[in-house]
Amino acid sequence: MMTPDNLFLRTARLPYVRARIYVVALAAVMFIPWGDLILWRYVYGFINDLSPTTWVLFFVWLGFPQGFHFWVKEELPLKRRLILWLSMVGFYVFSLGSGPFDPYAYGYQPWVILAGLSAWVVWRSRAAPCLTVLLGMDLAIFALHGLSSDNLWDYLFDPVLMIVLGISLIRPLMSHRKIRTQS
Amino acid sequence: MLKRWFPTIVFAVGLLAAIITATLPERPQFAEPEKTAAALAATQAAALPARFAWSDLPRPTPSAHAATLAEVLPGTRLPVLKVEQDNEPVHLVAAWFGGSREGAADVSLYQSDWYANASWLPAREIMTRQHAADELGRNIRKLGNPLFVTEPGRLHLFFVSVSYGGWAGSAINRSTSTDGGKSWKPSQRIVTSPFFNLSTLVRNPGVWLSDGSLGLPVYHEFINKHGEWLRLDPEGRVLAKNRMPMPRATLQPAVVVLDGQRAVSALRDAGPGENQVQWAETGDAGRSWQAGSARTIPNPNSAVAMIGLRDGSLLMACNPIGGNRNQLSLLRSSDQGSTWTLVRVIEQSADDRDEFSYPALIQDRTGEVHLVYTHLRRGIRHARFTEAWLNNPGTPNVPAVSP
Repeated sequence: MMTPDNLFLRTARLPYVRARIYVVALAAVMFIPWGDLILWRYVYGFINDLSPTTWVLFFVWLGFPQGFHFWVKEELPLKRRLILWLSMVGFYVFSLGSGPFDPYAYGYQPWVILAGLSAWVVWRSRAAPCLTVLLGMDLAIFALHGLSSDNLWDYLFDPVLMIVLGISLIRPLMSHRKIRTQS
Repeated sequence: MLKRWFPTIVFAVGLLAAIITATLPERPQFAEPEKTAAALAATQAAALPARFAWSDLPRPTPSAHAATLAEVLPGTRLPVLKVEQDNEPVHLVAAWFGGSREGAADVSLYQSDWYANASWLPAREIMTRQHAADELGRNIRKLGNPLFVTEPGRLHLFFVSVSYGGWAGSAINRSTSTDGGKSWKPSQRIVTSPFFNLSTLVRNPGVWLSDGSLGLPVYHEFINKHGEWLRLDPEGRVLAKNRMPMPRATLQPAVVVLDGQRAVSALRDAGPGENQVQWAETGDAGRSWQAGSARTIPNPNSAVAMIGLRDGSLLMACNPIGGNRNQLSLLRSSDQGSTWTLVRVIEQSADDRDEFSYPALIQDRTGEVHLVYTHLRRGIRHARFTEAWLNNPGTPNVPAVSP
C-alpha cells in the first residue's frame, strides 16, 4: 500500500520534479539574512536585473515542464538555439570591445531593433507564436520602464540567459556528435 | 481566428507601446552662453588682479583621493546656463572618497563646502558603503570616484560603486540635490553596460546640451580601456551612448566644448610604453568621436583635468612628467588644444613616491579658477588663482605651493 510518505518520495525522485525542488529550495535560501542584507542582495549585486525573457522562461520551465519542453522542441530546435547563443556571444564581444562598433548603443534609441523584430514577426510569427508573445511582453515591459535600464537589449536577454542557453546546448551537441560519429 | 492572430496582436501592442514611450531626443547641440554674457564674464575674469592662494580641505580620514569640485549656481534649472546674477559669495562644493586606504571597506564619500573669503567647512560623510547598499538594494563592496555636475538650482552627484572585484567591476550611480548639497536624494543606478552592468566609471564633469540633456564623459575598464560618452536626460535616463575609439588604452576623458557642435577631449593614457596625453574630438556634439594624435605632454597613466577659460584658451592640470605623479602642473593652449605651454608648476617633490594627482578644475562665475587635487594621498588641497596670475607666469618650473 502506498503511504503519503512513499508517494512524496517517489514523486520527488522523478528527475523533472527533483530539479524543481532544488530550484525552489535555492530560491528559499535567497531570503536568509547574511550580515545586513539577505543573500539575494549579494546575488543581485552580481547579476543585476534579469531580462523579462529570462524570468518568463524560468517560470514556464518551473510551472509547466512538459509545455516548456514541447515549446522548445517546436520553436527552438537545436540549430536555432545554437545560432541564438552564438549571436548573444558575438553581441557581448562587440559590446565590451574597444572598436567603433558597439551594438549595445543601438538599444537606447531602439528603432533599428524594433524594425528588425517587426520584420522577424512578419516572417516567423506563425511558426513561432510563443516567441512572438514573449517578444511582445518584453516590448511592453520596456515601454513601462520595468527595469532600471533604458536599453531595449536588456529587456530581450541577459548574460545569465546566455550562460544557461550555452549549458543547455552542451548535452544535445555532444549526443549529436556521438550519433554522427557512430553513423 | 483570434487564437491564430493572438501572438501577433500581443506583439503589436508591445511594439506600439514601445514606439509611443520611446524618447526621440533632439539632434544634440552643446549649450553655449549668450554672447553678451560671455563677453561680460570674460572682461570680468580678465580684470581680476594676479593672485594665488592655497588651502587644505578637512582631513577626516587617513587617506583621501579623487576630489571633484563644483560651484553651486543660484537660479532655476532651465534654461541651462542662465545663472541669476546675485551678490551672494561664490559657494563651492567638493567631494572625494576617504577611508583607511583606497578600496577599503571603510571608504566613504565626503563633502565640504567653501564660501568666498572663508575657509572650508568641516567635512560631512555623504555616502557610506552601507548607505549605498541600502539605497541601491544590493551589496556594495567599495565606493570610488565621486563627480559633481552643476546647473542652476541643482547639483548632480555621480559616484562609482563596486559590488564584486576591482575597479573594472564598477557601475555608476546618480543622486541630486536642490538645496546646494545640503541633502541628497536617494541614489539610483545607471545601466550602461550589457554584461552585468560591469565597468563604467566617472571622473571628469559633463557638459550641458541645448535641450537640457547632459553629455557625460565616462570610461570603461573591463577587458578594454576606453572613453565613452553618455547623453542623459534631466532625470538621469540614458538617451544615447557613444564610444571614443582610440588606438591605445585610455581612461578618464576630460571634455571642453569649443562651439555648438565641436568639443575636444584629453584622456589619460593607460597603454604600455611611453605615455602621453591622448586626444579625441567630436564635430557633431558627441554623436561620434575621432581619435586625434596624442599631445606631446608626458602622462604617467594619471588623471587629467581640462577646462575652457573665459579668455578662450584651454587650461589643463596634469602630471606632465614620465613615470610618476610627483609634479602637478598647469598647461595652457591658445589654439584649441593643438599646442600646449607649461605655465605653472603647482607642486612638485624630488621623491618619486609623493603624489599630487587627480586634479579637478573649474572657473567660478567671478572668473577665479579653482583647482583641487590629491595631496600625498593623505588629503585634498585647494589652489585658487586668476587668469592674470596665469598670464604672468614668472618662472614656470618653480612650484606655486611652497613645500
